[in-house]
Amino acid sequence: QEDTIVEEPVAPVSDISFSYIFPDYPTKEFPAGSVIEVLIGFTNNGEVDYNVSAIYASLNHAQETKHYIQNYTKAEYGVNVKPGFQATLPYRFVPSEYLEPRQFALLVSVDYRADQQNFTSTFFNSTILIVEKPVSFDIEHFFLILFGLGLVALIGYIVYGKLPKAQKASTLSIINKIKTSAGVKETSQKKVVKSSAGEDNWLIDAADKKPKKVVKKSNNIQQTQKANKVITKSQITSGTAGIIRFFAKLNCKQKRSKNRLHIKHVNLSGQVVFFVRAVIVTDNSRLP
Amino acid sequence: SKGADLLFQKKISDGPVVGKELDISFIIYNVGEGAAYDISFADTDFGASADFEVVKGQSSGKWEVIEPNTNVSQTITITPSKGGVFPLTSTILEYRKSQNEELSHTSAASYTGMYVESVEEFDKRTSLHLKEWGTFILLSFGSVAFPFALWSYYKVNYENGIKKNK
Repeated sequence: QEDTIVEEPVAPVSDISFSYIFPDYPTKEFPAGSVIEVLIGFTNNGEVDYNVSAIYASLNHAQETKHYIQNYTKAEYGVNVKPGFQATLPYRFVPSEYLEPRQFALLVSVDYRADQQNFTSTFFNSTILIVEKPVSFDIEHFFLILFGLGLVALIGYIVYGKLPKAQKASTLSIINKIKTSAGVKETSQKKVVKSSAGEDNWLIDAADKKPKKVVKKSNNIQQTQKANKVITKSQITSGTAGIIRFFAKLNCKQKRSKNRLHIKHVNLSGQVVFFVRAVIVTDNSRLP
Repeated sequence: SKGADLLFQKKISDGPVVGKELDISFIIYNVGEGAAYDISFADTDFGASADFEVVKGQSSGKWEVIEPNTNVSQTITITPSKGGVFPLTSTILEYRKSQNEELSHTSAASYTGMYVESVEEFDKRTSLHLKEWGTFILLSFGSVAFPFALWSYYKVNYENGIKKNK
């Protein structure tokens, strides 16, 4: 069957001669992913005009050259070369940046015509070396640095994780002092406010600044005190309050000092504050 | 053929932009086995045209000899004065393959045309888009500022959920 294929006639060798240069890579070691330029000299030694129609290249397996690895775009020229003249044609191609750095066969061919006849010459067919592209930003180094930073962060986290224990201990002792001086044994909320002389700042501030309003609203508080947690549940229904309620519940089971500390940070509205107070008072009332 | 074999390249280094300096290099490589003699070329694409202003250098060159496996070059710096596509011709390089031979001709058919980018296009492609980024930052700041204002208002006027007495 192969006999039926019409072979393209090749021009007499004496008519056309080729020369080439890889100006940027004279050693034929091409970095993968870079633009490779080849200058092709097309010399017409014949008697008629030749027209260079196209140049194309392919990267093949070094040993089995029939096995194609990459085909590069065909560049169209249409350059007429008169007898006795030579034309220099540039051709550029980019070997894939994913190519393994090893030997390949590079084939560069020229299509040209004269008197309605087409010719093809593969003037370059030899092994070349694909090398790794030198990069300023190395992804491997980037991840190494990232890993290093992560390690530092981990150590920092572990060290930080040990700190709160000490802090908790110190805050506990401080709050215990406050409790003893503030008359924790008092059962009513009003008395707590009155008796807490100085140290129980967050309660006093709120109470002193708005004494009338607090008294008015303290009806609520007293109700809360009486009904303990039942009322607080019905009063506080919003999402935030729910979270606070959860914390408060949680803290009720823990030491009172902690309870106070936590709630002081989370109270957001008047309602919540009353609730919190109620809890504390409730809690306090249970003290021996 | 044991004589010289010259390859001639007309190389435009950067993307041409109106009003920006542009280097055009004429590089001659001797890939033959012998030295080339009486080498000369004269390019007419840039020097004579009113659309290009020559900053420095020249678009012609003359060398007495080019040794094998060496190269020589000539650079001209021009400033394109208007955008668009400019047709480029092949520059003819003349030289003797050996001292006694007649003149050979090499043409550099590097480009059939050169596209000169207008200033507007170039700015659009390369600008830092400060105006766009500024607008973006302003808009994203707005979405942060509103809740922050609410929070700071609360922080100033309320304490523990109760309005402060002034």
